[in-house]
Amino acid sequence: MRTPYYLLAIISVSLFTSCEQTTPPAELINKKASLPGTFSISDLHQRLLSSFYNTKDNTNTVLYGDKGAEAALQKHGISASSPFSLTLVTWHQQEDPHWFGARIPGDLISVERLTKADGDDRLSYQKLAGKQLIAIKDTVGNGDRIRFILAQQPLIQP
Amino acid sequence: MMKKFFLTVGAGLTVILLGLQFFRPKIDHPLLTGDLDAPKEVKDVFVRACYDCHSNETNVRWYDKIQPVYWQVAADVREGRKGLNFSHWDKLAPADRKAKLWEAVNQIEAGAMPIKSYQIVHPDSKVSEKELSKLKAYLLGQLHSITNDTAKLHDRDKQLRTINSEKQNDLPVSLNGITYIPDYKNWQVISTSDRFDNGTMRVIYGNDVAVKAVKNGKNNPWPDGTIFAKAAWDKLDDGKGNISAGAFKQVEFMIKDSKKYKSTNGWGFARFKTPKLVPYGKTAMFTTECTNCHQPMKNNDFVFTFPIKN
Ligand code: HEC
Ligand code: HEC
Repeated sequence: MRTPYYLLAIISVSLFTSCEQTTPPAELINKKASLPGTFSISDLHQRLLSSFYNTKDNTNTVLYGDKGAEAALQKHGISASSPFSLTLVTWHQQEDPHWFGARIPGDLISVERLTKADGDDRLSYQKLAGKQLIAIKDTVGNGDRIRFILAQQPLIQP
Repeated sequence: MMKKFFLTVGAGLTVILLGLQFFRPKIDHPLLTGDLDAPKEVKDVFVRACYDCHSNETNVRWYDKIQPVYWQVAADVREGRKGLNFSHWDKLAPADRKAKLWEAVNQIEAGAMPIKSYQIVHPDSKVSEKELSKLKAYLLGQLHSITNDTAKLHDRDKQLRTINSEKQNDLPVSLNGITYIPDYKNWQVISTSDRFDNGTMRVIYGNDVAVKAVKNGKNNPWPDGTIFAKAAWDKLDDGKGNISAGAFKQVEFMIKDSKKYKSTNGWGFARFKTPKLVPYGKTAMFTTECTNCHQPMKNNDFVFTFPIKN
């Protein structure tokens, strides 16, 4: 008489084990690459202008900017009067655990900001580095970085 | 009383099972046109583990022929051959052959192939870690350098020259009825992907619903209203370590609406190619390609991307 119940138990156990769990949402966030709470890119409301890699350093970078920045890059330089704001975010690359054949952002390296205020010809460059994005005081090499940023070409985004 | 009941039910089931044996779907063996071309140790793995469903050389064992199992076997062979058939390798363009192999290796790594129920009945079909490493090494060995590719530079320059004249007034619509969403360019970047398997670079954008879901930890399952866009460009290598974006290849969308898109796992899929934004596919069934490759991500709401909180 018990047999049907045993059968039922076996069937339900095998059903449960074949049904895999959904992954907890937190495990799917790229934590290494995420920005600390102290700095939010999405609050800047800038849009993507460019994306590039460096195979020597194994880094990848995303360049955001406002309307003025887009115009500045298209002109390969700074038009004297218009203000702009550019934001550069750089990560180490890591292998994509979900796809053999892809690399995705890994540890956050830095955020750089290049801005030009209205009616002011000077450029302001600021660098924040490390997981916690600490402001860097050292200004050596800033000129090179400014030239590098302004030399980037906008992506073709139809 | 109870005993008699179970006996009757048992006898009834036996009759039905026996009867079922006479209903047999057909598994045919169409001619092989051009078989997979790969080194023996690579090909052997595919032949042993995959050919029953992904070639015309299906070898149905006696225990596969018992109904109702046989229905499932026949359906798997039909569906399997449709998406990937190693016996028609010659019908694929070289780039598509390469892409299918990378997809195949990824399906094995994700544990999605060979299909679980098949593995239980055919334990010898399991691909070992060692075999998987061999397959991966083979794929990596097939990659070639993309340094200073003049054809790609030329493609990019041509797009830059013609981009403005190609702007359309009407938004294109995909074959499954999804209208192109130009606003994706104003969304946040939730990740990027450097695809060394096919020489492209990608950016994955998320709309406001997606960005908010990431901030609130509501990213599995993703809420209705979430939209992802993924754009792809050629990679240009200047030979000094700098990789930049070349010609625009395509943009793809995944729109979450668990009711409207129930038949495609709750997501509306669309792909628009080249700056002309040509809708992809020959029929609305192009979505099978999307859902099949995204299938191993079923525990992650069919999404590959690990979003960045920003
Ligand atoms: C029992 C039959 C069966 C076996 C064995 C099997 N597959 Fe599949 N495969 C299927 C079916 C059915 C589908 C389509 C539905 C799905 O994705 O689950 C499929 C889909 C795929 C796809 C996606 C094809 C597309 O539409 O683009 C790939 C890639 C794949 N299989 C690779 C493999 C590899 C590699 C092996 C061997 C290691 C393998 N399969 C073994 C049945 C099988
Ligand atoms: C051969 C496998 C494959 C096929 C086929 C495929 N995808 Fe994907 N898809 C991926 C991978 C891998 C990613 C992760 C990002 C990357 O590396 O490109 C992805 C990511 C995406 C994303 C970003 C959200 C996410 O899941 O990460 C969208 C949108 C998308 N695909 C749309 C589509 C559409 C639309 C189709 C069908 C027209 C399609 N995909 C077919 C492999 C595939």
